[in-house]
Amino acid sequence: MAKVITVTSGKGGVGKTTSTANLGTALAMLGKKVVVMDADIGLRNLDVVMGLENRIVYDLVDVIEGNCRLRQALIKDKHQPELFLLPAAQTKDKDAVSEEEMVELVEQLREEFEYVLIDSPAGIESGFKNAIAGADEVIIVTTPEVSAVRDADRIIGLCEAHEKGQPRLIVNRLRPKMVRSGEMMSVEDVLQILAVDLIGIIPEDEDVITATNKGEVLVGDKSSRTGKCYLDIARRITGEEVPIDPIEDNPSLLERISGMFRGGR
Amino acid sequence: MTDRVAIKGARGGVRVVIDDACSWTDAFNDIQHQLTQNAALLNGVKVSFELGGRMLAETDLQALQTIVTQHQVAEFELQTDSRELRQLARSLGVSARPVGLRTETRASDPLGAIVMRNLRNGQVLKHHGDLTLLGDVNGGAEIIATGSVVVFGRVRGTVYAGASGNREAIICAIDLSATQIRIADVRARAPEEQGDKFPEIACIEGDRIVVHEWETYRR
Repeated sequence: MAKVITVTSGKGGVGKTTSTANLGTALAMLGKKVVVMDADIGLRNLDVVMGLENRIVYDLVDVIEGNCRLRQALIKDKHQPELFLLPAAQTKDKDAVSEEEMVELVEQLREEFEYVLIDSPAGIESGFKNAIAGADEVIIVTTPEVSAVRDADRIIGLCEAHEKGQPRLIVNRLRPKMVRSGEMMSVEDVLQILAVDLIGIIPEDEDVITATNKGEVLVGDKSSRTGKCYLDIARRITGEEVPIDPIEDNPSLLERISGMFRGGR
Repeated sequence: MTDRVAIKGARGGVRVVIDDACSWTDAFNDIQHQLTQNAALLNGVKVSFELGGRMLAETDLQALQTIVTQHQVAEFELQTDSRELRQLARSLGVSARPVGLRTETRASDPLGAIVMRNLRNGQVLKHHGDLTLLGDVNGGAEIIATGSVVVFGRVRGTVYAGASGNREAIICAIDLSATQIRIADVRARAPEEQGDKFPEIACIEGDRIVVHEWETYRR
């Protein structure tokens, strides 16, 4: 029985698309048959992040309007043979699709795949509602800062109202040094406000920018800590128990010395 | 007992709820009748007449004033949606407020209520009567209650107690880091600097909201 998971956040720019691309790839690496769907109609990005934008012929609006068959719109990933992308439409906007149509489309995808990951747009209006319409579960991505957490809280309330159950949380772009110096919220601070289960922590990583620009995902890179974090999250999605790496890198020599003078923390 | 006029208890006084649909003449007769019947209850007490959106002529209002004083009601006020009526009332020396809270049930629960949940950003919890919340009020969430509000948790959103005008209402919380609190018609904003967290009680003293540390307040 396929599992449909929507990745959403409320706030824009916190890492939904990056997470969807990485988690889709990771699940395929674990041997699952996966489709990632871009539900951000009008502002599509998932194809770019995966390096597949020049292979798009049909998109999800074409499928819904009956201009093509579902198979024709699915794009096979460059690296993972069991990973497919269903791109969003770029020249339409979010009103092109209704919640019922999304649910129907998801039902079709359930027949072919073990996991359906839906990349949600930012916001709380129809784009978001369409993205969660067909979902069994929701994963919320937030960064450890006040406005993202505030928006995530709103989204969690909406997911509960739409009866999608308790979402699980990814805390993305954590900077352990700033957490130590008190300039950034810690994961505990975030969980204290949001009160949901944590499914993973991802550190701030410049390599994400490089990879995105190349249309690659980090989870394929064995030497990447970020990649490993995403792979662990994919494992947890499949039900495996994997301890969460708290991403506390060691204080630098300078930090330790100034810590001594400040009387330690 | 008629349905046109109902007398209900409220914190600090009594509410006389007048049905929107009946004529003022009928309502007025019933009010007279009720005031006589319940003289003991109303003696020396503050009475609030809830008129909804109804408009009254000056003579009607004066007649109401007369019978109310005759029955030795200590203080009375009008709750009305009509700004015209509020202005008219005030010109006659009668205090008048807008109707603060509209919910489906107008009866207040004398026992208050205990609600066990966290309020998330964007959620609003409205309640007639006193409210105890076992949970947090996150930033962007609101509580609106006609009575007092006790939060056994953290308040980071807004709390509005005494929403229908009751200045006796209080707000307490284990962590009162609210963005804004309001009791009746008085607002307060959280100070810029928030130090250590401890339980606090907020109430109206004079014309302002004063927030006391629980430890010192209870002595």
